[in-house]
Amino acid sequence: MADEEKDQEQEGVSRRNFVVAGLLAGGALATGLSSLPLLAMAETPRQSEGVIWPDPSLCIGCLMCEQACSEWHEAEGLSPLPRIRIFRTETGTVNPQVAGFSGGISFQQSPCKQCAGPDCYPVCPADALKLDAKTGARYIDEKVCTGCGKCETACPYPITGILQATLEETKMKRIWYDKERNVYTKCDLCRGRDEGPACVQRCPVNVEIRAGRVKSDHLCLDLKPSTPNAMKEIL
Amino acid sequence: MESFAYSKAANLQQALDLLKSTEGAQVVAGGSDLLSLLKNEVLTPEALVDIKGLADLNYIKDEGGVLRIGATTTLTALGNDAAVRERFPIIAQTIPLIASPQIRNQATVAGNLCQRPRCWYFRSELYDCFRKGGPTCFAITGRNSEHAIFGGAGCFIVHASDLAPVLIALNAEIALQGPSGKRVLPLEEFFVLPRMNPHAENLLQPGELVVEIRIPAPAADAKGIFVKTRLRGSWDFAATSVAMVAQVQNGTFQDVRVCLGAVAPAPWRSKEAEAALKGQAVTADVAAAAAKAAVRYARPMSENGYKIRQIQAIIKRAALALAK
Ligand SMILES: Cc1cc2nc3c(=O)[nH]c(=O)nc-3n(C[C@H](O)[C@H](O)[C@H](O)COP(=O)(O)OP(=O)(O)OC[C@H]3O[C@@H](n4cnc5c(N)ncnc54)[C@H](O)[C@@H]3O)c2cc1C
Ligand code: SF4
Repeated sequence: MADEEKDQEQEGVSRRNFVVAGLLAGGALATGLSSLPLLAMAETPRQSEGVIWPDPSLCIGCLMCEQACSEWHEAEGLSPLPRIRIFRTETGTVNPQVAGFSGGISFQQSPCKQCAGPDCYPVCPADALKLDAKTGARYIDEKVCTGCGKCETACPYPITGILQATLEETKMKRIWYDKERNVYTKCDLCRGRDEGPACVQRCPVNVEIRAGRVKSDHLCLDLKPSTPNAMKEIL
Repeated sequence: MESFAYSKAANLQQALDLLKSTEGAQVVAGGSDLLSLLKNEVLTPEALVDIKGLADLNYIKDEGGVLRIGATTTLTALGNDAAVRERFPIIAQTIPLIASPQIRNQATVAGNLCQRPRCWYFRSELYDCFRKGGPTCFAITGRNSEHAIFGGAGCFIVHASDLAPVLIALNAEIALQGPSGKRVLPLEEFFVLPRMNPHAENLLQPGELVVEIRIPAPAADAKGIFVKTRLRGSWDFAATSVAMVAQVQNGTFQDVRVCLGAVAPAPWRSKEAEAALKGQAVTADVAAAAAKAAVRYARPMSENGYKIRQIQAIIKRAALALAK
């Protein structure tokens, strides 16, 4: 697909676009109604269709997801920081079928939960937080982001622990800062990637599950339809 | 083997010019590592620039206490040098543990530091693995008995050099020269982990050469030791290794640098072991605590858990030997 075509097809909806679109559509459909419900509707963006649903008990801490994520986004000209990070928990439950791959050490994945009512979305003063036109995935438009960090502050899902990549005690949210590029970045479900999210495709445990060598009815990192409660159910 | 253009540089400047002007050129020194990768068609460079004969990079000099080792110095020459034997016995002790006499005659110091991974998937043309630009690492759920217990991220090679941990423990620097000039950096920072770049083991830029290693004068009371385990009795790459350089006064470690080899994709400085040893009168208990601290964050794979036990054993052994 030509780049321009791809851009048009995927051009996301920012908060401001969404408010305007909501008012116009609402105005056409509901003439005579007060504008209050329309505004309320405008502030609640549509649900993301998908979300990366992790199962920590299947994670072996190999960091292939971080690498695949980083590699794909960098090739797209975006920040090379991985949008999924792996924490070392050590006290978690490990599925015995995969325990051997990591010496029984437990890990936890931390992708964005693509919240139903995303706190990051309305606070961006630059309207850099957008919804993917196709999937509804919440993403940060790096061309627009000014690096102010309001989205990170608003994100209600902190995660603390030993980051496996650096082995350092780390406190972060689901959105993080790329200081080289002065932009914030988060999981965008690899928008526009034909094979779907790179982490889901390249996770070695997923490869084992798909091959039937590890028995599981779901993947270690699964792209699942999102639900209004997903953010409570996902760790 | 694919065909390639071959040119032999007469001096350093010519080598740099050739590398700059020849598209897809790769440096060859002793060839002991590179040739097997060419034969297996793991690497297929269009051109080779041979630097083996460069007299201007073949030297060992003592300058104001700093030992300067030219990049094309062979391992044999390094191990036989009188100043090295007297001032840096840890290097002289290490050289005979590297490969075989024939290989050491051929192999250069820079080649040893820039050698490519020994991972069997990497070395086989049959596997398009992650390090080579492919989709995945076959070692993660495959055969990994000789792979990393630290620092793996998508790729789990170990850095196979025995010289690198020793030089890092000695606080050496590396001098590089290339199209954008000369730069000198701590050797420790020259090596990169896969999370920084999964396709290269060091910071070398295209057209850049290692030109020199510099080792600062050690403290008068500094002692060093290198201990290596192998999977067989005869010459072999390390299964695990430790280089330890300490300033010891009355049995107490005033200062210490510990660098582990063959356990991570880059030489692995163990700040944890250093912290446990520094300021301590090293007894068997202190050495055991340092060994335990060193493996606190090890992440074994399905076949290499033995490395966690081995590395602890040799850290203890090294610390106790230096404490004597
Ligand atoms: C059978 C066998 C056993 C071995 N056992 C051990 C062991 O026990 N311990 C150990 O530490 N090593 C071991 N080695 C590795 C050996 O030490 C290396 O092959 C050798 O040091 C490489 O040096 P070389 O000059 O032959 O390098 P080459 O093969 O010529 O080059 C190796 C790499 O370094 C690059 N390179 C070389 N010089 C420069 C430079 N000046 N600047 C930039 N890049 C450069 C080349 O481009 C190439 O990528 C073994 C090797 C073999 C074949
Ligand atoms: S450990 Fe690295 S070199 Fe070996 S198969 Fe995995 S990615 Fe390739």
